[in-house]
Amino acid sequence: MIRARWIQLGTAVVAVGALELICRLGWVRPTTLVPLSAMVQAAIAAAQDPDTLADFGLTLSTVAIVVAIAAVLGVVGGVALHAVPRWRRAAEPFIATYYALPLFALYPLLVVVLGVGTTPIIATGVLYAMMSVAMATLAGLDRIPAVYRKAARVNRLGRVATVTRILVPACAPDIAGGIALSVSYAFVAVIASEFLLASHGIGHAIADAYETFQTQRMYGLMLGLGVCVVAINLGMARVRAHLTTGAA
Amino acid sequence: MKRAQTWLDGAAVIVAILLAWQFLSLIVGAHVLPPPRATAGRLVTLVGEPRFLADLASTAEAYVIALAIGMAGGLVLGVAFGGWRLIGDSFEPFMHLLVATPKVTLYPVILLLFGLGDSAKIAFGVLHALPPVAIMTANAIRTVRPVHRKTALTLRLSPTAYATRLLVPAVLPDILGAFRVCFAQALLGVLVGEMFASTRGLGHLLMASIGVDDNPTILAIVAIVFVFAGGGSAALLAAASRRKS
Amino acid sequence: MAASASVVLDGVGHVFPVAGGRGAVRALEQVSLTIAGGEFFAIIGPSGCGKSTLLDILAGLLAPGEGRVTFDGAEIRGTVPDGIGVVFQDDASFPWLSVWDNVAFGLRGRGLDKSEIAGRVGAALDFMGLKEFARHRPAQLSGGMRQRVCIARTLVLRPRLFLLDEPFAALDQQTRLLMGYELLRLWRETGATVVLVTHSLDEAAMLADRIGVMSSRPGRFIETVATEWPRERSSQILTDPRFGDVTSRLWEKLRAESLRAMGR
Repeated sequence: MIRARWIQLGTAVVAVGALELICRLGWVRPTTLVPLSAMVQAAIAAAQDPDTLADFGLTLSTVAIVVAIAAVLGVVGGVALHAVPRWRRAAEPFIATYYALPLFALYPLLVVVLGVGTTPIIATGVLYAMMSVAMATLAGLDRIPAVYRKAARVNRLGRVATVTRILVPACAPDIAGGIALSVSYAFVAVIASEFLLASHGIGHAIADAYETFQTQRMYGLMLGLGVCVVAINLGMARVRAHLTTGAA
Repeated sequence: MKRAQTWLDGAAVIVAILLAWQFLSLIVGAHVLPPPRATAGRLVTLVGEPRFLADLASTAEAYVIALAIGMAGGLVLGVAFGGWRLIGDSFEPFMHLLVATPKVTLYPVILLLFGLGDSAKIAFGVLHALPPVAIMTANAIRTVRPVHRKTALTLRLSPTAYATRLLVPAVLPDILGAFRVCFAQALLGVLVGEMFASTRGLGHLLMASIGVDDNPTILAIVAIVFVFAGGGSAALLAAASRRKS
Repeated sequence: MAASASVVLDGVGHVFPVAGGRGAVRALEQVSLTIAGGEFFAIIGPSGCGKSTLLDILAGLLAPGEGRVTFDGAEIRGTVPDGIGVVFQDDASFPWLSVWDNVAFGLRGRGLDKSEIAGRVGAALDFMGLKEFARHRPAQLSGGMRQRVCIARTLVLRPRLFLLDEPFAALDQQTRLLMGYELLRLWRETGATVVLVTHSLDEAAMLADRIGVMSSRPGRFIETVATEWPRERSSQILTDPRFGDVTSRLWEKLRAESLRAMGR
């Protein structure tokens, strides 16, 4: 493991060094590729620019809204499908192929229906993020021991109380795992939507920098976004690892 | 009996989706969201247009190439990651990083490196398809039974023979699963690539139709892509479950 | 008849690091032993005493932390040398190959011609009574038959040293007995050296020329018992009064160690 860490570090250092070298030696045009040092400079410059910060804030808040809506819809949908086995059997093939669909192609349509702005972006994000929560909820409900349901009946809980007081808490770790996964989906969908058609957000800022030939700024924004996404993903991975070990 | 029931339920879901579509179309207006029948009509005329056929062929070509490269490259990397622990520990985290990154943001880099054209969208398809195949293959190989690994060692297999004659056959069912993901991801990558910067292909046609508010064409293309992706994925899923039983 | 081998262990020891945390577990300590060419040697010991670790070291699957192991005068150190065949406790047949292809597995890619491979595989299948099952898949066979497939797979390589790590542990009692005789027959007819790890006293006493008794962890040999059976031996051994002597001697040595291994 320690050896692997060194190899990782070495690979990263060599890659960054090679990048720096071929850029500084002028082997590639600065409109194509810039060295890491220039990317960092651009990232710092972007962080001091209020407009760019506003774009960042918009993207992050959109992702947060998407995850919140997707979590509610996913849990409700999962519980509903689990409650009616026949629906579930019918829906199963569609659930299994859901993430194979380029849901992205729906974005233009959502723009047509919902108009330009954040609403179609949020809708695309929810489409992407919701299913991972629903699938996790279904898997969690499947694992609940039969004795819990018996306990609910012995304690004379109603249907709603059984769901809210026993079933959902019992599969909370699974649901949390699904929500953590939905964050990545939300990021992908939101940024891709911004990138293609929106006029705000960090995705748009990157596309704009590309189209206006501000290559250095483009790489700086990517670096900033990359650091941000990686940090959030690592955080989520930790939360999930904590939940699964806590549940076991 | 049970089988017929399943088919019937599946058909019911499709009918429900079509009804919901029709209903939504009534609410927002047929000029904004054309109903299923109008879309089907547009689809028929679209298939007769040479321009559309050229776009379809362009997308199909890029897709097949991206699929092949993504699958082959993913398999090779996956076998290396899963078969040799040091390689996996050292380089697999980079793959995870790539999977988690919103890859659209990397598209400008690909355009800068590959130029505007087919190779850029193929590269973008590969960027989507290859990492999950590599990770799924590596994970499958890690679950190969230890006694099979030990056996291979005692039979003094060369590293190549170890990979091709033990690891790959042992994980064949999982590779089928990886192919399903590759199938979907390569399509997504190529389409998004065409949507952002391309002069031909279905993705480009989609964006061009948005530009001129040609809603029936948008829906018709979305319908084609969904039926292809959903149908292909379902067929692969069925093939995988048949193998398992 | 293949040439015999001799195995020499000299002060072999091994320590495993504990996964995740600090500290280590000493599995073997100062194991020294000489096994003559053509000998049938059995190893018994309480569970977790390092029997399998010792076998992995002998097979070249694990490099010993301390000491030296030689086979035919050449040192074995973490790579499997030519001339060694290993059979494991777990079913190691490949479910994706037919019985025939399982047995031929180790022969392919060694530059042997097709007729040579076919001849050797046919002979091995014949020897292990698998001829009619050549086209079957392992999933269609019983546990005992699958273990025969694994033995046949090592047999085709004509090893001079057979290492067997509790090969019959997963089988029922009757099948165990029958497989024991098969093993004796294999040993007699190939002239190879056999090292058998087992937890069954009867199995060890019935099959082996000598039996090494290992202590609880860290494992080392506390006693070696010679049975002095003739090379041609059969189930009649079971009724021989000396059989009872051997097993009671083994049990006497093993009882205290087993209690210690259980933490009493």
